[in-house]
Amino acid sequence: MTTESERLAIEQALGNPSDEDRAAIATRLANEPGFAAEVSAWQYRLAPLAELVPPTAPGEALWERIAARTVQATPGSVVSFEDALATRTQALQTRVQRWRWATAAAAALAASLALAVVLRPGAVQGPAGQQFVGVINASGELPPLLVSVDLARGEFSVQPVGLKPQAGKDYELWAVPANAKPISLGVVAKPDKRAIDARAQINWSDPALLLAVTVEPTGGSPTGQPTTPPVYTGKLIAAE
Amino acid sequence: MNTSIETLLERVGQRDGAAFRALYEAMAPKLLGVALRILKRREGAEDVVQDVFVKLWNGQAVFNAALGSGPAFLATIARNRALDLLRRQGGRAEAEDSGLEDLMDLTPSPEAVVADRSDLKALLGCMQHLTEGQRRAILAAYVDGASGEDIARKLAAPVGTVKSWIHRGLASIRECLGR
Repeated sequence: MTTESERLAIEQALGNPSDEDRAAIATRLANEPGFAAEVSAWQYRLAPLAELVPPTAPGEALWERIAARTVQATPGSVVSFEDALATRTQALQTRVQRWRWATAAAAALAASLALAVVLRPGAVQGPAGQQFVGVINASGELPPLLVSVDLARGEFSVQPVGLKPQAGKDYELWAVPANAKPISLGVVAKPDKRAIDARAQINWSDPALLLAVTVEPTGGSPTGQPTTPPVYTGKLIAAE
Repeated sequence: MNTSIETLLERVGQRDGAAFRALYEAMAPKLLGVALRILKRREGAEDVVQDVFVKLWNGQAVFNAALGSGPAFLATIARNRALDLLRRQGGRAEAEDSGLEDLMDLTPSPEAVVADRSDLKALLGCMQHLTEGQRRAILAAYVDGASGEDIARKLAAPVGTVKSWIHRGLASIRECLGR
């Protein structure tokens, strides 16, 4: 089992020590040089668990508050969003800079921890330089549609997979930003690559951005807005 | 390793404003999620995220790659800050205490799975060797910052048992991780 020192380091790392332990911890922190390192080692061991918590999009005002206390308070370091996006894209180039589609089902990725650990929907290079994307979900079904967004090239591609054609109807893809009207990404019928329309000003990196598919009259919604509720929704995942 | 976050952290250390904004775009939602899970209050949770980023910019929190990944570093400082705030508030209001969801339902975010975080894989792999009680107690303690008493109520087990689950479980994890 664990020694008293280890037990106290764990209690401190978890952050909820009893009052009695708190006093003992303070003494050790003051007198034992190795103790603080042991606490921080435990925090780092457990830190990956933070990935189990779903992300939450901050309000717009939070960045303003932070910027006012940081970059804007430092001469010569005001930064535009475009610069930041370019920087992030550049940083991601050390890995792969593509964004992938996760179906709503894939968001619930692998019902068990075991599956999630062993498998990943990663892209691998095939012999002919082909790329493969795997979608893993509880039922093993194929997703209706794959969407990938490549910010570096300024294009996105759609690939219908399990989408069943309906007579006299078309499927239309929408980007739905938080608190804004859906923006049409066009009708999807066959695998297709399209340029990102910069005028639409979609913030692709916003985790709150939703992709949705609706069934519309042939040629797409006549009004420019969805005329039916979505049949499928999903989110983009940053590929890193 | 998640190269992009580490690269951004390094550049933020040199007061690179574009890298700072990019780091915010990439990590703020994750850190807000972590803080919100502990504090259950949006306002306090956003204060935590603000504090983390202001500290980073001012060089009061410095990333050390020898200790762990960039996301692990950021999650650790956000979590510590949220727990500080919780303590200063004198804990959660009673009504909010019951809000602990069943943690066994949690799976890694798709981002984390796609990013192929080796530290997460190793840890979750080790957690599979734990008993269900150990796993749930450790998740509640870490992810919710729940006290032994909170967890005991939630899992309907004596506090002593919960503490023993946590400590035995963590001893097993350390052995399994080999570090």
